[in-house]
Amino acid sequence: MTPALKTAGLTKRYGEFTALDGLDMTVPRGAIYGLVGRNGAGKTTLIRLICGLQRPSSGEYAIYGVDSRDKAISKARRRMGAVVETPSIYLDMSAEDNLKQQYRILGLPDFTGIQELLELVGLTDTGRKKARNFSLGMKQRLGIAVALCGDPDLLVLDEPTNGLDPQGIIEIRELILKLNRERQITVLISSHILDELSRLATHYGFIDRGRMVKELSAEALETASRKCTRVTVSDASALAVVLDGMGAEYSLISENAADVYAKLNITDLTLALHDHGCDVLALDERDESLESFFVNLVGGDRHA
Amino acid sequence: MRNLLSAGLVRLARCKALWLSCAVATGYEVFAVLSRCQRVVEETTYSHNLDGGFFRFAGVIGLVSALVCAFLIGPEHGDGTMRNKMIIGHSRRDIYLSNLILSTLASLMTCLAAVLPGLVLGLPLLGGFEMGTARATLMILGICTLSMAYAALFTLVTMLISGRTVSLTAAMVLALALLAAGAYLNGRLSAPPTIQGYDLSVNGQLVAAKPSPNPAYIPEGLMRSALQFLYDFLPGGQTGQYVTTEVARPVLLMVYDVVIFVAATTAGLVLFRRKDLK
Repeated sequence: MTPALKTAGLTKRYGEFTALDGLDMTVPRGAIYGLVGRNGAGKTTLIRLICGLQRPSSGEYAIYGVDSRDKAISKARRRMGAVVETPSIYLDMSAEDNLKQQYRILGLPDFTGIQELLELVGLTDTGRKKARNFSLGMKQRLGIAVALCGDPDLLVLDEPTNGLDPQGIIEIRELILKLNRERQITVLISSHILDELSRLATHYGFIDRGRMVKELSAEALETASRKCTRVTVSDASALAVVLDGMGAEYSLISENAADVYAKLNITDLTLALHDHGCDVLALDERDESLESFFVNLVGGDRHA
Repeated sequence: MRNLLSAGLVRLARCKALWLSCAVATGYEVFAVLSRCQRVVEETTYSHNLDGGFFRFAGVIGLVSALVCAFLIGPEHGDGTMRNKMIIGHSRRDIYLSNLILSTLASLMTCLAAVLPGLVLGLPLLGGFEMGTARATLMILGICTLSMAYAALFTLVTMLISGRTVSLTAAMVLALALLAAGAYLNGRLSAPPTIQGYDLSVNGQLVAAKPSPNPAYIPEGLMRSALQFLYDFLPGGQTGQYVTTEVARPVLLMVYDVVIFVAATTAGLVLFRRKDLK
């Protein structure tokens, strides 16, 4: 199946500075794709490019199979909605008027669906109140509602929970999950709040210095970062024999270390290894979160 | 494009700056006509006609056009709504042209807001135009094309500068700079060839001396032709000519307005296509 979004060698340079450096990415249909990267990694630049706000220096992208250099890209864009950095709303208009305005811009024949959208984002009771008087969370939800006008298949959200209070963050999270599950909308979301992202994303893309470092599904990440005990010994082959004998699941990391995923009786393990003439040098409990996975992946020296 | 215009017209109708500009143009014109009436009544040297007061509104068209463009287009950048239009597939050309059409419409509405009350009030009070209806109509049309040239220039500025305050400031500074350039050129071109000097006679009375050459005078030649061209071409110079009703070649000025409109729009389209939007 054609992915919702695919980039190939996407590059953006600002003078001498390279913000995106040959980035390859694939967002499968129906996914909630979490884009992870530190400040200046190129997340927002990537989103600006795929939204058509800026032109790539080189490389290409395709939205639902339509190439960015194809004239039909304008029509393909109709299948996407986006909130880039700040919500794009007329501050001197009410929530309803903002949606009506977006309907006009889209050329929709009537205003059917506006009340449903307002209900979806929880803004039905705002009446004539102008958007400038909304809280940050309300503005963000209105921005998402505007992006949802015209029933897009792909929703791009750049830092949607930035500056929101805990309640606002929960509301946005619930909304995104609802849109993905009930409307089958593919969501590309960038966020600094990795813990929050880990509650949403079905796929991840780790971006650093304008390049895609790793792409993987949430299941793959779970496997890669599951709870384990790293056992460092003098002889890993002896360790393998003992662990096989115990029926424990493990993976060898090096000639003298292995990650063991089973709950271990340390005494039994130590005695069994002693019988094989193998010394236990160290035992480390490892419980890798998305954050530590990210830090391990891109290095913590410049981590923001 | 039709969808953009449809949405834009709704915004235009709600644009407070437009209605304020129309009110200013109307007020300015009514004041000018009434002042003319008062002078005609009080001073016999003033002719009973509309000519002297009616075209004064041309003086504020540039400034109000700058104001309306900045308030109409500025929020499109500031609120990020221009991004929405691009994200859902509208081309940059369509976005630019729709905003140009709206700005031009707003400028013409401001002209109309001055012309209509000026005629309704001025015709019964001061009679017709001494210059003749045909020339007066040409002058009104000329001011309309001038307002379109202003709209194209200010659309260019406000579409290319993303910051709302910065674009408003830039548009106002440009409007004032154009007016100042017009006034300067008028001053240079209207300098007389000679200066009338006066001598003090032996009995202490001032008597006219032999006129001496005016160093500020620009004789016929390339320099004078260039300054005259600029005075005719620049919107600021045209504004001065319409306000004083001293328009020697109204059709030529209209042609210049069309040239400015097309040039500014072409430049704007090219530059806006290259602009990185944030």
